[in-house]
Amino acid sequence: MTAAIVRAMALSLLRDRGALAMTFLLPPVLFVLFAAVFAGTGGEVSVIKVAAARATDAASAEVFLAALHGAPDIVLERVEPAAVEARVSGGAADVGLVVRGDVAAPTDKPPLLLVTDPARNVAAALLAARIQRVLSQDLPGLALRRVAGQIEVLVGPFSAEQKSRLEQSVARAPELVASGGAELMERQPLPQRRAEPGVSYYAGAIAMLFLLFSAVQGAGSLVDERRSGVLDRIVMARGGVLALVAGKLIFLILQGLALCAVLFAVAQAVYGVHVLPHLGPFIAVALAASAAAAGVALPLAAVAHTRQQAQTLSTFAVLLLSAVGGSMVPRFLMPQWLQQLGVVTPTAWGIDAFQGALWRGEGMDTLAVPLAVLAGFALAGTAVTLWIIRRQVRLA
Amino acid sequence: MSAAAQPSADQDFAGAPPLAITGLHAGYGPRRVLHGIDLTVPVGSVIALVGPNGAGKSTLVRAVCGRLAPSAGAVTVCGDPAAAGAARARIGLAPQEIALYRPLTIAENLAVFARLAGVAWREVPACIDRVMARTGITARRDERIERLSGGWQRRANVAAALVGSPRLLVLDEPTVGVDAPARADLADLVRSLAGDGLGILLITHDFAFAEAVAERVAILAGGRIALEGPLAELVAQHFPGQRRVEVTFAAPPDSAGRRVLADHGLAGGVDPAAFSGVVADTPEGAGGLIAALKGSGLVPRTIVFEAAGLDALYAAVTREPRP
Repeated sequence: MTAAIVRAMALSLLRDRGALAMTFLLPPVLFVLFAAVFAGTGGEVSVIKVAAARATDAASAEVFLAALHGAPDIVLERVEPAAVEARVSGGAADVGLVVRGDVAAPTDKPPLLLVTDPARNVAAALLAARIQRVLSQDLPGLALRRVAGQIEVLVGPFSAEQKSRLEQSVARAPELVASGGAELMERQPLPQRRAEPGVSYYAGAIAMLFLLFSAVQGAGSLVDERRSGVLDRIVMARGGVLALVAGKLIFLILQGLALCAVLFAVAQAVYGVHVLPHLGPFIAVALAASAAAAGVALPLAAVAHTRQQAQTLSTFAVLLLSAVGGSMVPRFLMPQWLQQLGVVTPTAWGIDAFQGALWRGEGMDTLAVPLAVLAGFALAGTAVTLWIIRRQVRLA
Repeated sequence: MSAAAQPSADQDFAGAPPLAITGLHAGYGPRRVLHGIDLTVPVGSVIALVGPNGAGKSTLVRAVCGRLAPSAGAVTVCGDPAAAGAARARIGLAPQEIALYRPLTIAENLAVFARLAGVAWREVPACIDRVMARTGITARRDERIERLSGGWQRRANVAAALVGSPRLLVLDEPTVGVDAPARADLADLVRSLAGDGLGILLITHDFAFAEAVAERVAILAGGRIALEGPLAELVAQHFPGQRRVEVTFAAPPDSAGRRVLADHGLAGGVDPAAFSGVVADTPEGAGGLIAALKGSGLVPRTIVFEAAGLDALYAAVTREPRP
């Protein structure tokens, strides 16, 4: 009897081109876009626009600005000092830079002033990082002079011999940097994940987002069934409400599995996300995540009186769960309280489980907890749906 | 008798009628809607249930389908309480709406509802073939519901109620949105299903359809059965020696004209230019009305004298014009 509902839903979906596209075409497309936007697959780094001005006669200022201008990920626009603020506030520049002192000498106040728009604080952080890189890689002599000057302030003036050796070092600074002696940092990816592309996270995140959307779309048929009288007919049938809800749950799980198969096939083909080596855990996670999405969607459809109401309610719920659960921005970038709040969303557990299976290569024993939580969402949602519909059938 | 419309012959319900309602009181919480309903639908008969909005028809259907527990009295289907699973399995419900999956074909819909009704997988094809043949929709079996006309949709709606081989068929407003030829086809279908031995409870506002198919009528008003019995007997009992008359005008008459019509027992309906009532079935009865119309300057477009029917009964019982 349950299979009859699954069949009815499957045929309805197959004949609804809009729903088919929403379920199976949109997720991979959005995944590719998200990966490009957030994981940098569409280009190495972001380019920032800087309005720069020189407010000092120090010779180092011009050298520094010229070096910064040559940096590949910066678009530097030279303006008058008084115009910097206007360029930033007007949106023509992401961040402003005023060189107001000698970069190569100890000064009372910082020689570089960053003019920032609070709405684009990240641009200031990126510029600060670029400046550090320019100073350490392109102008190491300048940096060395500044440090030496600061040491003189602290411990007293250098002797003539020390000054002579300092000048020799300053002259050799680019050579030292080129030979690698001046590198401050080196990145070392975790060895076991060196081969995993960073877009794995977004494959899981987009999967959870669209599992919810497609489940909501499928569960919306409950509204149609109630309004068309099909529910009255089903209530009279031997299978009753239980067959109806169980059928919908199973269909939404199968639909979710198909969605995950399409999405992660694209992830593997385009970005080399390693799905096949972790196929068992991946299927288990996809199954549990699809069931959890159904557990969210079914009660929402059950309480809605019209398709429009269901659509509004579901869109709100899906966006909220996706935002808090980490489908849009990784949770570790969120404030602490939001990270804690995310724990009550199936999205967070689903993304974590997908990452566990594909990124961390966890086995079923480690995945047991997130899988159990996702199954809990599914069971709770199904039980609530049964209760709501049985109540409606009695009161209608 | 069609196998599609009937349960297996070895089922014996000890002579219990498809539907028996005795002393039914029911409502929603403190609101009482039905007050002591008695109604029986025997094997092979069609009972038409009519009544104004709010009379309790939907509540009665819910009680019949076991979705509303009586506060007093009983509803049994083939001898079992309506709320029991066995009773519900013997009811075929065709709701007022087209209660089918619109993107699916007729055959696919029937297969879904056959399975939900408990028909075994291997028996489903034969079951839907029988039901489609019985309801005359085989030619459209592979067309989607959303692409069918209103008449075919109604037939498919009835067919879906038959896949579980019910003993009682509940038809809720089966003629809504159906044109005259399709309505006549539906009437033939309902009569033939009753001929197969089904008990049929027909809820309708379509008096002509009810008169065409029902042996008995029940008029529900204020939560009570105001009248119940064979239509001809009820008419003879309530309108002895009277005929129904319907008068229409080119334009609604003024207040003086309406007073004249009311004095002769004619009341207006939904159409403000149409009035109906009963007059004595004698030359004087008809002549008196015509003379009164002439005397007051009212010029009718049509005057029809006919045997009183369900609409006259309905108007007399409910004090409402025909819907």
